[in-house]
Amino acid sequence: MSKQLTEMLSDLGENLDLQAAYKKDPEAVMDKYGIEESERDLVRQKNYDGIRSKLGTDVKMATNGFTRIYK
Amino acid sequence: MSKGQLTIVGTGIFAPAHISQEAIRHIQSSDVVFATIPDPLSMHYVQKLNTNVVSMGDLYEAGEDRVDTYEMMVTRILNAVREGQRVCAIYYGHPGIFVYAAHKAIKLAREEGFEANLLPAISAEDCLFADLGIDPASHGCQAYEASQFLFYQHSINSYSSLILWQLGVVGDTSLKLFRPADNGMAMLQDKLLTLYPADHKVTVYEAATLPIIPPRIEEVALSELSETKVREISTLFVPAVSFPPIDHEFCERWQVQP
Repeated sequence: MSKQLTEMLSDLGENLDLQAAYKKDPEAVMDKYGIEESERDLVRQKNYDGIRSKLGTDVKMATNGFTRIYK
Repeated sequence: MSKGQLTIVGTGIFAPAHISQEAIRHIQSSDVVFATIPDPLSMHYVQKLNTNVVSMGDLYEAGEDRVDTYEMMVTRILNAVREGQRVCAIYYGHPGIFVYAAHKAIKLAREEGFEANLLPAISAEDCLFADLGIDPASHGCQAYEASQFLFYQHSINSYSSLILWQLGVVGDTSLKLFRPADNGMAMLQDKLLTLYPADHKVTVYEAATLPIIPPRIEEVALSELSETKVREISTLFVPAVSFPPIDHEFCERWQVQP
């Protein structure tokens, strides 16, 4: 799990001013949070699966219903 | 010993923006928070609200299948309530939509005489209506778990929208997979082709879970659906084929002017 990336994305989710700053200059925002180069590339490419992997997303916890075939 | 109580809340899809004020108060005031949250951003936020957050993630490894995992969740939640704790369980999205353990925990807690409440939250369906610009008032809307749609003979109304959930495990009867069955998407395409034309445009949808990436809205012809990549959060939206014909006999009988 990437602490810096988690902090940046968490703050972006809450802070409209930060969102505006990111739209204007994403590199400056990533500088501010100390995002490392491999993570920057994922962010630049909007690589959803790559970012989720860096964050440590546990995809299993997204499925909580089921269907059984009853005879 | 104080009497235990249970409140089950949801993170919504995009946290913390989607977490309700009511849910926040319950998270803050509970003795323990059991979290079933795939998204680390949501978990990060919940851990700021309460220092005693227990992830349910370990139960997905411990369970023989998904149902076993969900039953273990219920046991973990109920045991804490029985100990007299104020318990908050928090799930991704809406805790009452496609969450077996939440409904069962509420039912058992109430049967045992505990106060138990499940609070509403923003679901993937809410996001879908907003992102796709769909108003269910225009054609009506049907929704099914994707595997249930496959294996049971539901009467599908093609004049109404159709939403199919949990594409990520479609066709899996083992309840052990966290991906579609090997032929799951092919089965889904096959069944839909019995109801809709091959060139009918359907949308694979994923609500936004990260602030820098927009929702996935991928429109494909039904005949191409089986080749389309899906994730655990993918949903299928099938639009109505047309408006239904007017019921002239009914309108004449009641002298309603179309």
